[in-house]
Amino acid sequence: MILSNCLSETAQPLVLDTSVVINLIATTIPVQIIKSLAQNVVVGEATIQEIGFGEKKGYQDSGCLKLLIDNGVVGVEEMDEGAFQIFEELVTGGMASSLGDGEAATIAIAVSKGKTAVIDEKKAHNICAQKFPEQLVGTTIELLSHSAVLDAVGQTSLSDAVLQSLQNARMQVRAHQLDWVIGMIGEDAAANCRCLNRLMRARNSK
Amino acid sequence: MINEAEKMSAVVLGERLRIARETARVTQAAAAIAAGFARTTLVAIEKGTRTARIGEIQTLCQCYGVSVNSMLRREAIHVDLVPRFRKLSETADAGIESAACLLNDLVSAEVELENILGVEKSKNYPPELAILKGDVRTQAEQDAQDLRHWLGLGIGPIQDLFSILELQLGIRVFSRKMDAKVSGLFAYDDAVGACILVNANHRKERRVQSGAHELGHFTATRRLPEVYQDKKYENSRDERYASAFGRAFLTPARSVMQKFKELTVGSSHLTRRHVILMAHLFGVSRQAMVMRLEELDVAKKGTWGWFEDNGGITDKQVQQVLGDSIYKDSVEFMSGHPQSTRLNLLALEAWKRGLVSEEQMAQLLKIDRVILRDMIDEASAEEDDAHDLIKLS
Repeated sequence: MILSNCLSETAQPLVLDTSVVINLIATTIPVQIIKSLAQNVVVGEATIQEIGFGEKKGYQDSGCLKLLIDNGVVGVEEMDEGAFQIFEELVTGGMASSLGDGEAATIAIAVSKGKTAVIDEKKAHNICAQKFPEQLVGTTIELLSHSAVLDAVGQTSLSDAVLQSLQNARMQVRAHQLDWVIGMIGEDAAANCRCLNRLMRARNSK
Repeated sequence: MINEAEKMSAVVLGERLRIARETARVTQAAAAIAAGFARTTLVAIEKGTRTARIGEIQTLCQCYGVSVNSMLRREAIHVDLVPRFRKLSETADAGIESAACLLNDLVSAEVELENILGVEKSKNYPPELAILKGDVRTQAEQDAQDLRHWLGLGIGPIQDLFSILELQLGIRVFSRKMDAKVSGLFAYDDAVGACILVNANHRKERRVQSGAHELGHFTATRRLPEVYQDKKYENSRDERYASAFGRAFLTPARSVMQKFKELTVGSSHLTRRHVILMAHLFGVSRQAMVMRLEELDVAKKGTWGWFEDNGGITDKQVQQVLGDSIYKDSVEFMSGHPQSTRLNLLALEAWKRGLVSEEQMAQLLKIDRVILRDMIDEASAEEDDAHDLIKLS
């Protein structure tokens, strides 16, 4: 099944949010996935810091991200003045209308520097759609379902990668993405993924 | 561009930055160097006479280990419990300082979520007592009995102490993994009320004991912050009172004596089986149970020492006496999920309403994203089981 994918339609570099980095590392093949994409992939400083904070609690993502950066697979993007203004707008105000630092920085960098944001957080998508209607925002599933990724890693590896991310990182899946996920990992595996329980139940009750 | 109405006043922001700096134990000089300006500039920012630029705010926040969003978010609460703990000599220890900061952050998060959801925190505090001249243990036993009576608990074993603390008394209760030496913390603030933090690394019975100890502080030394440490010598009347109160609250004298009589009828000796059953009944550790029996002169002084010298009372023996399923319940360790029930419920409700993002929630609850995702999935699954019959209004 082909999933409609905004990331396939753009050559813009991608800015990954923390949520996406965690999901990609959990696939166990982040290097192959990211290198398969034609677009450059970057993260903001806030994402690096947030993942580094997890290292103090014993999580390994920080080391993995550092390797990706040191090996040139993922670049680091700093906020310029334009990005800072957008960042300030996104972290200020009420809880309902603001975002966390990493989420805000990802969108700010993407908007200011003409890149595509990749972020799973629904609230971030909604706020971005309100404030920056022209801005492209993708999700981890859209990244994984990019045809270039399938061509590079092959069906078996990609299926396993998706399953690893679902099981180990509880990767978020939207309702319209479920069929693609099931196509990748199979109905039985999908039924056993806790993070898919709600979507599976809704699907089976139709 | 930011709406002027959304922009925080320089005075409010300055105060928040000051609290964050002091909580992080950073001097004005060090913060100013990190931010690349003069100390006098930072003084002006903290007083609100100079507006900080977003880049400066970000640098200062990085220096203090807080997020910019938590600084600029309108409803964010900035409680300053930490300086009160710093007046205690124990807080020179990094593990204890860290625990105090954690309690501070969890209380702030809970209050902020209450405000966002429009939920009012109800408190049902008994009158505050004082430790009087004379024997602290006698006062503690009486006060514990009185509190049980005030709560309508009778003299029987307590099934769930933390529910009583949270739901009946309205104390804010949190459980998180901390440095092993920290059993619990207690603090009180007029604005946010009483707060307790217990160590999720400890076994259930020990957490219960810590909770009951902190309840003693809540009862008689409410306005003083306290750190309850493992194996700390009880050299103050406050500590001796709180420990005696905790024991009396969990294992009331009359009830212990009555159950002891029932369980040991026909026996010539106190056996491991008796201890295991008594401890399980009252929800306390084996050691705590035997020490209580000694304290009440139901067992001879030195009884626990004898058990220790003769192989102790092992988990395997507990499993044999209680059976597998009860044993598993009684020695449950924390799963990865933090067990601050009310805070979790508030956060999940805010999530459901689309008011908080994953990053904001992880920052508020001080938990890892993957653990948070698991928590959300679990809560969502429960919601799906909801049926009209059990719908609330």
